[in-house]
Amino acid sequence: MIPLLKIEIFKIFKKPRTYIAFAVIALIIILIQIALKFGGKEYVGLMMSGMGDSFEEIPTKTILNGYLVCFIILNLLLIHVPILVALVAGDAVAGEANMGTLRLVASKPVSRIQLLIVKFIASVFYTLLLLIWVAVLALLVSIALFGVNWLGVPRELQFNVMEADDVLWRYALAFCFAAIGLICVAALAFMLSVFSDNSIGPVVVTVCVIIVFTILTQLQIPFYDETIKPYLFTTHMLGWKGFFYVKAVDGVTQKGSIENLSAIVKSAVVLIGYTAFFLGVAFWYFKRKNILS
Amino acid sequence: MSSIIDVRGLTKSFSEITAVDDLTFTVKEKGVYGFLGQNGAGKSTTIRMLLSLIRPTKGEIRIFGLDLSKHRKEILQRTGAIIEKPDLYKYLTAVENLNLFATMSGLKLSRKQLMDKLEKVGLAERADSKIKTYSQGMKQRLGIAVALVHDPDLIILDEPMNGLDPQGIADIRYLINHLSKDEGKTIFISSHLLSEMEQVADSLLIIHKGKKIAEGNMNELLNPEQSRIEIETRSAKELELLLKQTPWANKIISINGSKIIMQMKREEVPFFVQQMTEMKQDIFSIHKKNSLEDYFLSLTAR
Repeated sequence: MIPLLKIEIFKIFKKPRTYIAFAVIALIIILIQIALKFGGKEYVGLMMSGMGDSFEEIPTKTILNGYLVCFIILNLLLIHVPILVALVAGDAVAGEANMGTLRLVASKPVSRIQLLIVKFIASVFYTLLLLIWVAVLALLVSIALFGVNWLGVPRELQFNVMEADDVLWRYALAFCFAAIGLICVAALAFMLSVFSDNSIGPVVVTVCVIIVFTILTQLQIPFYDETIKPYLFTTHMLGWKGFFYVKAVDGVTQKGSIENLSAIVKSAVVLIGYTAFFLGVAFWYFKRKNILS
Repeated sequence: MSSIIDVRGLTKSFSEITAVDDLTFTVKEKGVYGFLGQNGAGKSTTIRMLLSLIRPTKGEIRIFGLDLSKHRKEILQRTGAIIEKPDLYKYLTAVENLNLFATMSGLKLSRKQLMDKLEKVGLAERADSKIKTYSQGMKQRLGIAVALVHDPDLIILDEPMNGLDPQGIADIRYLINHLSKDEGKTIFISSHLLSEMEQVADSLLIIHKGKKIAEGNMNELLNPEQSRIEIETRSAKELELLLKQTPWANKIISINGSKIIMQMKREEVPFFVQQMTEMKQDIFSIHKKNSLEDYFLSLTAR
């Protein structure tokens, strides 16, 4: 299994398209960091508007530290990273069918299930590497550029404040949660990839699903809140934010607390359930698939 | 000689279409077994079923005496294949491609071993070039190296000469002969190039519309004792009417314009020509037609 996995990872990282995602993420994050470095005061002003006078006297430099910059980046980026994940996961099987190599690979003495397992693990490996890349650029580079201080997370008309030494573990868990969400997207693209003989189809369909579901998730229509949103995996992908919502007693946030841990766990379980479903369908179909292309 | 491939009642249906219909054949150990059929006859579907790429609707495939549906891995470990054009990873080099497929076959080869295998197909000098820079002939040779990387006992080649120039075709022909005669491999090959098949195959299986229409040793099938003779005359129709009143009537196979095709023993030919002269029939030309192409066309034109 390990030599096969090495082969799959080798193939992924030999394709130029693999590096597009890393370059795009680096570009976006650097652009956001530059914008906040030089225009951070206006951004913070906008963010704090409506929060009351008590925050006005705090210097921008204190609020706009590396932790907040990372939060802003993740807020903007974690919706778009799935598209980049789909580029590789959607190509895993369909790309081989498209190139004509699938029939050669499938006629080797490796079981189809084993083949699919290593392909999915390789897609997960790429996904996690992409997430680590986001973490390094968004968190570590932001800390290096903006320093660290307490983290204030705006939330409707509230402002959740966390001490500087109460933040890093939240990011660690948020990235772990984001990994579950992105693996779910990878599983969706992977499943579609098994059904297709060209690599564009699964990527486009995955991107369309994410866009439509994200729009539905963000629609502020009460009818959808209970009928559709709880069943969309994109709704649960936002669960990482829960690690930055803290309990407060008499207006004072409780260090080390998470406001609604059970909601985060529920979202993680839903995402894992979706992943299992997507993979189940992929394995069931691929085992029976007539490889014609 | 024991049988390597044993197929019984193999059938594959895609919705309403039956691509392969109750096919039964046996491929003996060693030698080259040619697999012929027109486009859409069911050759590729059959080959894909032999490689477990397609599930049969009905029937049984035994390779090396093992049931393919139960011993897929063991069988594929001893089988090498090229299925239609050899599509390889274009963004990888030849040595990377070969190493990748060797690993998939459970081998761990050193660079030297890989280079030796590329040397055999004349690609050692371009071992580190990406496949996208390769010509069709080079890709085909690399495809063969990939098929042979794990030294299989059975080699399945689906149209291996497609798109090759004459030199490329000659190289493949030489390789097939070498693998069969010198290394004792069993080769199951499908091709449209009937003249090439005639040169390499020992046995033949011909299918038409998914059904077997002929199987056997090449010499027996082409039957040199019973030559097919093409006679060009002034009017084939007139000659046919005349012949129908003689014992030659049952030797007529077909008529095409001014040509009439008959089947007769070699020693009967001079006697036939003499009788035609006596009957004052103008014979402009007479050709022996015993090529595989003639045989194939006579079967599939039905």
